[in-house]
Amino acid sequence: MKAEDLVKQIELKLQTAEVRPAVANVGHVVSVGDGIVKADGLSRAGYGELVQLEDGRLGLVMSLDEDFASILLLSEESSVPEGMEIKTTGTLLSLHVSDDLFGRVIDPFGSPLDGRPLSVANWTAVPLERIAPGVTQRAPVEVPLKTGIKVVDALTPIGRGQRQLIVGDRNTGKTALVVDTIINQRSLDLDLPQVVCVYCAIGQKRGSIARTVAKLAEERAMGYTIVVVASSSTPAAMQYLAPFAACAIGEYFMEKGRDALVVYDDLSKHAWAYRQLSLLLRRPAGREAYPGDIFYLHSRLLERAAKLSKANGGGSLTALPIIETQAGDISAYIPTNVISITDGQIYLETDLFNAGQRPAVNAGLSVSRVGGKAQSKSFRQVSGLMRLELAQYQSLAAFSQFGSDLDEATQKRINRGKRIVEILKQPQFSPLGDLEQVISIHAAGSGLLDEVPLEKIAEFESRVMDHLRTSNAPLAQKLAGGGRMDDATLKELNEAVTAFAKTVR
Amino acid sequence: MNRLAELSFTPAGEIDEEIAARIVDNLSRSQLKSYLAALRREMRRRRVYVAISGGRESEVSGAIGERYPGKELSVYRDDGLGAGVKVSAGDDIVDASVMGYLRELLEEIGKA
Repeated sequence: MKAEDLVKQIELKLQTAEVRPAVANVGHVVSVGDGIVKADGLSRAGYGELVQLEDGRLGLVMSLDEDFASILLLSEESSVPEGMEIKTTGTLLSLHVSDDLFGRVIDPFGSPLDGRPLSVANWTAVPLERIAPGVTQRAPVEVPLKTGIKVVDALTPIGRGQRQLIVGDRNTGKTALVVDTIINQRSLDLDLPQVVCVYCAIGQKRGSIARTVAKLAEERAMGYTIVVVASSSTPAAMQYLAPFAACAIGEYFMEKGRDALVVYDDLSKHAWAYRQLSLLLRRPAGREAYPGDIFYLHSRLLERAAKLSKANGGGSLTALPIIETQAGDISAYIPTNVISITDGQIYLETDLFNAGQRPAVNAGLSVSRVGGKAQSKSFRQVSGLMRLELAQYQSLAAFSQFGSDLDEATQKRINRGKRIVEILKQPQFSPLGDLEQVISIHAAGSGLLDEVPLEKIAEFESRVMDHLRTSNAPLAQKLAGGGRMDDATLKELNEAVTAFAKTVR
Repeated sequence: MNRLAELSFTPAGEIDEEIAARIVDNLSRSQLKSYLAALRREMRRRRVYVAISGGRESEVSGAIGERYPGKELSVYRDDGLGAGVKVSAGDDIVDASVMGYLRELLEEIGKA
């Protein structure tokens, strides 16, 4: 081709300019107050649609009246003048997610809060609000999500894809329990695939969040963890959106076939933020001034936790919502709502906490409706016996004050129960592997520790595993698989543990 | 209020003075404010504003008028558009001007 021909071609192309007019649906600010903008116009705006103010700031359409749209400002409300133009964007609020988010602390819009620049490469835009996977897309919850906490893994086991509520008063160890769970995912117990963790802090003090993040970093848990933060000093809109952002991140990994764990710390404050927004939006107030859709708010969030079928990638999203009760009242509005939504609850009690039983799990009020199937076979074998012994002890505990007036069988039962309670105590930030837990629980539940003094139980537990590994390595190896223990294995284990127990008396 | 504002107009698009007077006389001060807002919205809905840069107003307005039958056309010159035309019909804005194109381009660059 001659150079003249190319010049002619380009000239021809430049003569025919493609006209693509920009079409927008606009409105104007009528009033602003408490982070809510009322705007007229916007006749084509949809509920939950993102709108853009003239100065580039974004808002979320929260209600559509006959004449006005109420918009939630997604940034500080300073200087939004009356009459400012707002236009629809035709998009829903979404977040850019990729593996680059691991180890980072972000806000609900994906902006970094840890003081380091964040560039998310190869991202996927995930909408904050989505419909939960349907029945046909799901598979039963059967794979364990090990918390590393004996009392939880034994009494209220959690499966991958389950929703397990953690409920209790302030300062009962709710956050400590979930932080331990996140830390335990580092160990890749039972050769299960790595669980990606998302910790969502809602309405918490920045100091508390910083302590949690520092602990996760210290325990090398940030490598597989993303922290989503909407602290108490952020607008209610951010606190309202934070758990949805965390859930969207978890879903991204679930759809990639991975296992994700999302912790919502806590949904009580989320409910408060939503109540604040709803009152400002002038929605009718219901019980305790919460809006009528407060149940739907939490059910649509938690319903997104799922175990997907193999045909859908086989990923899972486990949800651990936290609810803070007032004076131990689990029959209040929000706790009962979330209890009925989730697949079980772990109830932490102040009295137990103050009595030194930590984690302060109330075994009677805690339950896991689906997690039992997700326990390893050996764990299920030993925890059943312990649960029975513990229940009998609790019903007899009231008599324990009579001491020597009790018959021998009852005293023996109480004695064993005390050892079970002692073995279920566990220091913070020291999650245990499946095998360690199986041996401790089996030893206490089957009466192998009946002769060990109470104050020596902790010493027994700290040394028994090392002893087994050194003195009977083949047995330890056999038990490590998590399979059901046959009679011969059980006998061998009993002999080894009894022999060791004698050495710590 | 929207219905009252709608009824205040004749089929020809003029204000029906008799109806308007009856409405104004019977409304309280706060109701009158709402009526005024509704009247403004109704006027915006009935009228199409066409901003054109440079000449050719009559030629362009004829073509646009065909697209919005039954609506009153208000054509004015706006050289700030650079070149092209911007049509505002109710809440909808169709911007086919150079200035609009540049604004959109800047937004895209800002997002990237």
